[in-house]
Amino acid sequence: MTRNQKTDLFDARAQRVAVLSDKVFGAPNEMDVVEAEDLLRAADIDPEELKARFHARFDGLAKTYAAKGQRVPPLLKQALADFRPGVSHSRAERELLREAQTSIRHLLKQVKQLPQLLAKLPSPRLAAAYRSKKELSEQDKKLLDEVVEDLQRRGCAAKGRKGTA
Amino acid sequence: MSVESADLSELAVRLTAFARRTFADFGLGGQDTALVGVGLSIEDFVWRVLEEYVEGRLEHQISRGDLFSLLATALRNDIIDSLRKAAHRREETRSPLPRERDSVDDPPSLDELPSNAAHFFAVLDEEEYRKRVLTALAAEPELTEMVHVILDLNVYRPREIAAALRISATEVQNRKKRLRRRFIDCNLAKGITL
Repeated sequence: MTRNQKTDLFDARAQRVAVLSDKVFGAPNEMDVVEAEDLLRAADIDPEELKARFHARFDGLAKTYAAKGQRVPPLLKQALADFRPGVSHSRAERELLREAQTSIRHLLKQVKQLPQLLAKLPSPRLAAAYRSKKELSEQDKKLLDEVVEDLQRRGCAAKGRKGTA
Repeated sequence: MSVESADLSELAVRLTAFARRTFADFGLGGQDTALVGVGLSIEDFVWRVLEEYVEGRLEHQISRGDLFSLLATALRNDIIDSLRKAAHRREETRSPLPRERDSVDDPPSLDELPSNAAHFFAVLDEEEYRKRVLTALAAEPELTEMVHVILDLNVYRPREIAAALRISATEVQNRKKRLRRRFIDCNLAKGITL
């Protein structure tokens, strides 16, 4: 038997075993990440340590690209991000987290700008019709006058701040 | 699963577990098994396929199925290639003629082959494979029954297996998980280190 024939025979027999394996144990993609982690832990392999070792290998590979002055392939950059030690969330979870942080930052920025936004509003015209109401006592009218004065003072103060800002 | 949403660290964990299953398929056991002649461990094989993928030498096209299946198939083919190389290397270093008495430099002859060299060929025998699977499940009658249904009736879709065993498709999936776990654990304990 020639070497090529031996190779063909070896491969054919190995592939038959692979087909049998898939029949008995299922297609490769039937094993999800939870099951895979359980299997590794049962063999005393910590999945987080495993990821850290792969990160070190990807880091070394990226450095060889840099040393040659070559551009790091996008998938290698993605691998470095996905395998970064201490990052326990999946990429989908990390994206959600990033979106939430962006929304909160945007909201806080708007809150900080609120006094300036209010100052841009035209000064309110305060109605004085209450003065002709006979049901109100002089004391009530005096209290309402104080409220009007207070609001006008605040409006002026806000405009003054805007002018100095 | 699209290329963009695949988390590579999750794929690596799944690939490592799948590599353990493939090592078990070919009777390569032990915790730190490395293939003699090629010197590659389970982690090395996973790394090689990941490296090929991130460097663009192994391209994923969605029309060819999901990314994990592509990487797992490449990984298994790489293990088979390495097994073949290791087997050839062993064969080439052995002489068909007996060694001279007192010879220390001549390669050992074929009749001096250690048992684990013959193992290379035995593991590729389908009947031997069936025996190894059933031996690993000896203490699990439910799992043994399922394997008999799969191999003897030649059914492998969960619904067909479920119908043959009169159980639910979910129970079939649960038993398959137990099958994988039992087979890999048993191989870790009993597999032959090459």
